[in-house]
Amino acid sequence: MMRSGSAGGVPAVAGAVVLQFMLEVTLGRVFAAPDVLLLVLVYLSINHGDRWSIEGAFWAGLALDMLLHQPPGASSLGLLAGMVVATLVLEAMPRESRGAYLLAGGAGSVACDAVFFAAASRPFILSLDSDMLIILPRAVLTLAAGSAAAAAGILAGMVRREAAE
Amino acid sequence: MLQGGSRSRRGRLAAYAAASVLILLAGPVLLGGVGSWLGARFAFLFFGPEEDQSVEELRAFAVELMLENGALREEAMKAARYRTLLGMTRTLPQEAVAGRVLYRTEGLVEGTLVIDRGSRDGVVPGAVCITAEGLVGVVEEVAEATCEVLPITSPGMRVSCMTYPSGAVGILQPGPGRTLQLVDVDLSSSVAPGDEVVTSRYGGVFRDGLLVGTVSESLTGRAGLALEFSVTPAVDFTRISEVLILLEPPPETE
Repeated sequence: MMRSGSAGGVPAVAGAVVLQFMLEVTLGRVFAAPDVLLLVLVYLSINHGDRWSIEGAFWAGLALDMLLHQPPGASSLGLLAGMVVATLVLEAMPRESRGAYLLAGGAGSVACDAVFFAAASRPFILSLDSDMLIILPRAVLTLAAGSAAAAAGILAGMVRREAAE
Repeated sequence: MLQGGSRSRRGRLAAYAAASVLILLAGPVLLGGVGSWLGARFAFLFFGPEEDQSVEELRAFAVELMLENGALREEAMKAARYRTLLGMTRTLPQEAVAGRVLYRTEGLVEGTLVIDRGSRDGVVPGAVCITAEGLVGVVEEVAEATCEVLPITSPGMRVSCMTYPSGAVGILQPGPGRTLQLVDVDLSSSVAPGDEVVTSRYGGVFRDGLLVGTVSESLTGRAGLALEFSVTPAVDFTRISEVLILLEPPPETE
């Protein structure tokens, strides 16, 4: 379970789960939804400790599966895989940057969705088909969402600096 | 940067991944089982025991009513059929007994109908069998509780008939398939398609006026001294279920 000091992240993850759920039932039904939850988990694991890449991914995935009536555990497994890949990408980066964060989010999104599709398919693996192609647009949308968040962060920082001056 | 990479991190990761796989494999069963168990034991907290019981009672009552409704619908159909037959018995000068077709025997050419009325009901060989639609045939064999009716479509059957309203007399005999033919009709008669064919009393077997069928067409092009007509049977022999067997009048005692 999550330890003390993570109280600030819980509302963020809960909000991200709800947001991901809403995106899946709206954009996801029409085309594809970005992996916002994964981006939030990557952000939290960078800034608030790696418990968010394991415990956070597990419980958030389980909650999302319950909300979306998906096979329970499939999203947890996907998010855990996504977080592992995101961690590897971040560790391979020479320095911390928003670009590295975005790249890790995109790679994590691909891994997360691939594992999710494999885990949620019935029968396992054998029923995988062209539906998996949705992974790529989801990764692109995840990068776009991450870029938008990064741009919003930069703008907010600029506004704060100006206000402080 | 992400913290960790230690043995404990790998252990936690493996544990949570294993938990995910376990939930993935056994989750629906566990959730379903636990959910059912919880629902069975704690549903009264939300719905109350009385309400739950009354819902069950109402459901059972609804099923009972559905079954009863089906049975009543079947009885209504039977009642309508019997009402028609009863109306006929009131107009007939003879006593009649209603019977149900048990099954059909399959003969080489045409089968017979086995009826659930027999000698104990007063049925005798040669008794006439009818339905609300018209003439069916003649009782051929009688057992104690059943009898066998030879339909008029059987190859051996010949029925003395008249046409209405043209009034021509002829002999009805089976035609090809399940059709009937009226033969030996006087050349001077003016029988037309649509005329009803009814039994005449000349044969000595059937009482007069029982509807047999309708003249459908004249079988022209045949050389002979008499006319022939194709007759459509009034009775659908494939769908007979209830019949009336006309009983012989009891011998008059002085």
